[in-house]
Amino acid sequence: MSLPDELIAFEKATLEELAGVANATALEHLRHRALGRKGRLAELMSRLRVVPSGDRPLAGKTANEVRERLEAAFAEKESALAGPRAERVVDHTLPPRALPQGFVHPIVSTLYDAVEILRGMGFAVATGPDVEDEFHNFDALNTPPDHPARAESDTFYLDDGRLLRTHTSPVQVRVLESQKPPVRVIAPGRCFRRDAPDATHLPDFFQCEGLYVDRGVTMAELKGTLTALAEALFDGKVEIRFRPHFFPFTEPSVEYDFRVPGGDEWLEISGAGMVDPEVFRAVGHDPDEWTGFAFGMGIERIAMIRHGIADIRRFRENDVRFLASVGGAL
Amino acid sequence: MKASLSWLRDFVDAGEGADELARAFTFSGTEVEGIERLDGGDALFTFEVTPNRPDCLSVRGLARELSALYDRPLREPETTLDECDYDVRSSVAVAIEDDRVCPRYIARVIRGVRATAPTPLWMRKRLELVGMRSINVVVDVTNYVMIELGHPLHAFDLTKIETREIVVRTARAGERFVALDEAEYKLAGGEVLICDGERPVALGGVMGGLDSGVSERTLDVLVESAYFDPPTTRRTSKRLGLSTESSRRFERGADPIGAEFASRRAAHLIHKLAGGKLERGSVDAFPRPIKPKVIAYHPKRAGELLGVPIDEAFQRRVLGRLGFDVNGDDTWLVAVPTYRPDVSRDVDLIEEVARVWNYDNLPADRAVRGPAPVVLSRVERALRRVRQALVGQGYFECVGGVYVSREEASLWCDHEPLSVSRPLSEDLSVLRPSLMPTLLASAAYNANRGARSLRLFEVGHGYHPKDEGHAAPWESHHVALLVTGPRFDNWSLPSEDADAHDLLGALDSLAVILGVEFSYRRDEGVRNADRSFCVSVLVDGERAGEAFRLSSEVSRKYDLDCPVYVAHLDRDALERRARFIRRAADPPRYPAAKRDLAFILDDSTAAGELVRVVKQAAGEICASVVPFDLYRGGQVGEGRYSLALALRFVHPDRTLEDAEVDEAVKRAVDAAAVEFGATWRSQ
Repeated sequence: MSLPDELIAFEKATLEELAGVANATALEHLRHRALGRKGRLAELMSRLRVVPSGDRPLAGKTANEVRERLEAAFAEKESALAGPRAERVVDHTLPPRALPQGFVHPIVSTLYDAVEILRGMGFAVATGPDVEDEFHNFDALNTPPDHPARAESDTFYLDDGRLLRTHTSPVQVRVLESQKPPVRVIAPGRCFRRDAPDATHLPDFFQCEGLYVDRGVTMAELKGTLTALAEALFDGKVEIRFRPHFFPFTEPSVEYDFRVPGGDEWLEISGAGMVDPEVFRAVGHDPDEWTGFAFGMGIERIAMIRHGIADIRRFRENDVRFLASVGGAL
Repeated sequence: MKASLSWLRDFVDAGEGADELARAFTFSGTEVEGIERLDGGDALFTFEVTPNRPDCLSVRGLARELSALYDRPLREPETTLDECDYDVRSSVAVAIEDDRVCPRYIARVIRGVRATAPTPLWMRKRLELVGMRSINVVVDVTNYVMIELGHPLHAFDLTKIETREIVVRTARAGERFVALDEAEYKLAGGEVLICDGERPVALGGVMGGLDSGVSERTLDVLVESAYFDPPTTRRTSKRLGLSTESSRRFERGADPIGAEFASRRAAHLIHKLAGGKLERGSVDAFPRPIKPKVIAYHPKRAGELLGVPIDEAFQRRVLGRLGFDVNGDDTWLVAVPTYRPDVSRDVDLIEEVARVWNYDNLPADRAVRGPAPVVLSRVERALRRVRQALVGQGYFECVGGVYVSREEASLWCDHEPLSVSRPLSEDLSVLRPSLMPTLLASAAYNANRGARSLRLFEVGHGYHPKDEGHAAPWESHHVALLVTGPRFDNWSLPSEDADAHDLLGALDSLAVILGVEFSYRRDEGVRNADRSFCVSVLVDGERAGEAFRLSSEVSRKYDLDCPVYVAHLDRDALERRARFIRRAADPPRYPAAKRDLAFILDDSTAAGELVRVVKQAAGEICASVVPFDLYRGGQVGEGRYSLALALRFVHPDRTLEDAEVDEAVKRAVDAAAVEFGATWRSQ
């Protein structure tokens, strides 16, 4: 048989086999055998070399045509096998099959936001132990021995005279003890006070305190820092107001309030002021050379304002429905 | 502290309405907590006075604030004395034995008063408004002057002072004293006693005695105006549990100089309202006169500290109105009135000026200057990644409280837990030694509200008392996770409960994001663990915690019905080993060859072991061996299981020949047979 005849015969046989193919796997096997690198067509085409040169053009042409026709036939068979698409339309109102999504606790995300904002303003993060001594928690902060906050009714003492820190200010004292000014730090962390839990109090809670000590630090800079912090935390224009107050470790001392976007009430936030010279003396710095400002911020308080939470105890229940509604991402 | 508007207006012009005045007070440091409207346009303010301002525990002190705020003169109350010729020093003597606890004692005498004279209505009303009831005109005057001027006074029936000598001394331990409240107090020693010779007739600064006070039968009155040391008064008041209007004022610091004015005022009022003869002069025992402090102050300092200059004339005016005596031109010498014990330094004066100036005038200066080290600590970076990994795995972060009951704490540690000396309750009497009690409490809370599927994690501290390794109570740092209940909550997915492999999956993600490798070793010593799953977690070989199934006993304690899987890890170990910068892997350039092999194994052979042997035997070209199917059943036989492995072979420089791959497979099959007696089922 001549090569062209063999090619035509091969084509016919292949098409017959193709008609009988019932699934994709069988189709692939047939394609491999017929059109593959070591398949029948390849074998036939390799014999073109030995065809007499006069017959070669016809043989070659036949081979190409056979190949084109077979490839078309295979393509058609392939789409026929894929079949008509399933008729059923997807019901997109069924609950979606989401991979489980987790959340960071709202206290953590609030604290994280405050820390990132302040870090961007040049504050470094300082940390310290929860279990503190009286010197760092009270004495160095110019709190007299008979101050009511030191009473056992307000502070948790341990058997050896140490206590659970009532604010994160001890961390700032430790920074000032170990570092020469200028110092610009924030101290985020958990604090502990002997308060019975109710809608606005918890016996342990989170704070972020800030401290900036340098030459010529002013109260206007304190106001500017808190205003910038507030605007970033509440994502919009925030008004801030200072009210004179008293703390043993700052002089002048103020309490500060925010009026947040969308609200018309002044909301009490926390305390702030210029570092009392006695505090500088307690840690070995010269109050004539350095001034500083310090501020506190209750994280639960900020989170409650941001997310519209009325009862502080929510934060400790860890009800997953609550966490899902206000939990954040970092 | 309460004060009515009309009473304030006795001292200073204040035509403004109550609301405006309240604002002025609040924004200068004396917060008005409430305003009660009274008849005739009058109003009663309730003030929150900060502990550093004892001078504001008086109407005059509050009026002085208004005088500074509005720059108006302060009026003085009437103190003219219509004295008789008799010198009071012939009537009584005063001896102070310890002038540290009582630096000054002033006595005045009025004889032949009509103690039954009615207290005028205006005085009774004013006393009632601030919560004091009328007793008799003499006592009422002492109370009135205390509220008016802030200086507590006491009136004695002079005939009850038999020796006619007031001796001020400290109590001896064990002495007893019967006070006006008719209670008998046993003294510890050190309390200030006002005595009639030997016999105590008043507890100095706190309360008068039962027998020596002024009654309606009293004719001769001794008016005491003294200054008692604040710490002594506080100690006495606290020890005896006796807190009075008088003790509160002495505790915070009364005015040793103002004691004389108060004495005159009281004498004036008693004489005017109850008649009698006012003896001339006073017996004033003031062994070591107290002089006002003088502070050197540069008015420029206010502007330097605040950030904006404050007009010097304004400062001078304000300080003057507040009672400070200002002298000098460039540097001022400011004399501090003795009713301001809280002021002793230039920053205190700056605060006085600033609060009247009003912080609304303070601009917000947003300039950022100075050095700023802003490096994230490794711990912060590690925790950020921990949260990212776990949130990505569907875990919810919990923040639990730190206080637990002793019983709960002892479930989780061998040692005595760290206890607080005055806990809020038994359930909150110790500090958690690990995150387990509070994480389980969060799980229980949710389970009790119908949640079955839970993935929770917590980052926090455990607290421990001192021990051999620690000289003081110390804290450990942890990350813990918990998974329980149906793996999925969707109509199209199976609702099987999560098991150990789900927990291990979360740990695996955690490891990837932290850039570490976890390995696990069975550890039957893990507390509260079910034997079926209890492993130590090692990170790069270092022990970093444990992972286990919670024992059913403990699960029941927390009302958790489905199996609970937890991991409790040491944060510091994770941080130490974490690698924050990952090395890239080049994907292979040549196609991989895949082979699937199935083995029948004995139950005692761990899948990981087979994988290890197969991979090693297959050689370098074997890129991965991953189990993809596990079968137990009749065909395989009791005590055995079938494990199907997907092997991938790849060469970095070329496509592999079939023969090479076949050889590698044969080596693997042989090794498995030799090592485990594993038989090979073809796929």
